[in-house]
Amino acid sequence: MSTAGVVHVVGAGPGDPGLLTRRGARLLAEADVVVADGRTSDDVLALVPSSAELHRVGTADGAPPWPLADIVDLMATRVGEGRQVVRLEAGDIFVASPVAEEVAALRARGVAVTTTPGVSTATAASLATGMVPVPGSTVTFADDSRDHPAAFVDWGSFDEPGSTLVVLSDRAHHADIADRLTAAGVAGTTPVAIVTAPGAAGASVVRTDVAGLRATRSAPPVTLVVGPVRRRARLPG
Amino acid sequence: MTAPGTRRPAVVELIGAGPGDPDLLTRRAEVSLAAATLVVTDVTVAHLARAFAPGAAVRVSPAGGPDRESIDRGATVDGDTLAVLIGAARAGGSVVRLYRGDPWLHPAYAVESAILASAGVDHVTVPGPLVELAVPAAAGIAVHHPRLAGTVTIAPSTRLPRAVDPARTLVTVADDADDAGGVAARLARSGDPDLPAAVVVTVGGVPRAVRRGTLGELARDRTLGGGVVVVGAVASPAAVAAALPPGGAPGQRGGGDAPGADAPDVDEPGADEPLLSREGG
Repeated sequence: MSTAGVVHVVGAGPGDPGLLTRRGARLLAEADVVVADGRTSDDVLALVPSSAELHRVGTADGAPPWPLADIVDLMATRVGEGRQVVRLEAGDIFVASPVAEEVAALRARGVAVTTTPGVSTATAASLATGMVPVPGSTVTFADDSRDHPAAFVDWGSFDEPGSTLVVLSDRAHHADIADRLTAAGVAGTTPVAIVTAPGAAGASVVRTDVAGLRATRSAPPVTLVVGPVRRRARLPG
Repeated sequence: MTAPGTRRPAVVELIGAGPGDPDLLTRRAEVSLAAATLVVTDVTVAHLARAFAPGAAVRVSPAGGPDRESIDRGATVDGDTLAVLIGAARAGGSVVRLYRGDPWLHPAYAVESAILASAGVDHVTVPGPLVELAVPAAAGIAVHHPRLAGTVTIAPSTRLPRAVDPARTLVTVADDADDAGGVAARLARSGDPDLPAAVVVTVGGVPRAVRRGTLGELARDRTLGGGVVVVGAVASPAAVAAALPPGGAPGQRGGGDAPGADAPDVDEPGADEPLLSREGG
């Protein structure tokens, strides 16, 4: 009896294979085909069965990412052959990720899809900063990815005192972010932590504030944790 | 490894359990729970402690419970919980503090980790899937979308921002004490009642159904109970299907203007949408 093919979208977590979920690990162990983004760690990829076909479709080692249509075609074709396909995405599956479009395109073609969330690199990186949100306050995760048309950030909405902003960025434009936050009314003394290589073994944290952010340099990808937000004092008159 | 005759250093593992679905526990959490002699847990994930730590004493902490209305810095501290954690760790036990979701956003984490440190008890923090991200994702709802939404704001249901922009996803947890219909009603009153929204109805942290509609429509639904509320364009299957780039997926119907294979043609509140994206078993 042939088995129906399925695409299982699985969050690979921040890098440590111990942070894979139980379901994610099980699906990976049973995969016929694994389609991984460029940021899934080597330690997680080591869990791909030797019998499985492995494709890296994201930016890795300088290689350009695959076009959406090619990724969808590959997965739909393998599912048509009755294979179990695991689409691995570093961190959580839908946070600052292109996977939402892949899922919609697969479903539009009638391909069965399951979704298994993972530990977000955004929260794991934020945890590493030692900065913790004020209990009962809001936390915003902003996708600052260059390639995402909707990755515009309404910086003017982040001046709520006590809130925390986490920016996931694949570009180094700290001065621009600092200017936009300042223009939005966020105080220059508001704490900022910059996590470089979030989720990787060589991750590091630099602490500064919004004013000091302009003078910092770090290679992308970075996670910026801003907060708790302090509103800039308004001058009388 | 501890040398014979020397006492183990006192350590507590502070572990994120995820939303409550046993399959979303991390492998690291599973190993730590199996070795634990004491687990102090949130009530909402106590079933995981009992299932995965059969050899441990399990104690439910009142700090940082599901009723976020009571959460403030004072309410997150439970002296008995901390005394038990510190005492067991000093006695050389394998001690786990199990939080619902991810520790970083848990209202008790900052205070408990600081008090453990001040008592000379080391802690190791193990991240877990965040409830507000994991539950929508498990139900197939993308909180970020490359063409629809670049930000997602996670808010306690008692401190909701105004929801006025479909490109800014808003997610909040409505527990049994604060039902999803009531949350939708407050959001509809303070913001735009015509925004698309979805309620992922959960049982034990596991998605069971999705109700969709506008905020105004969901506000009138008194049958919702608890769940995770998602507001914004990403909550509309029609908007997600329409956002597909032309030619982005060869073979798709209508160049991106057709609804997805498992998406309802109409976002109709009041009818449970089957969760086709769930893995069986």
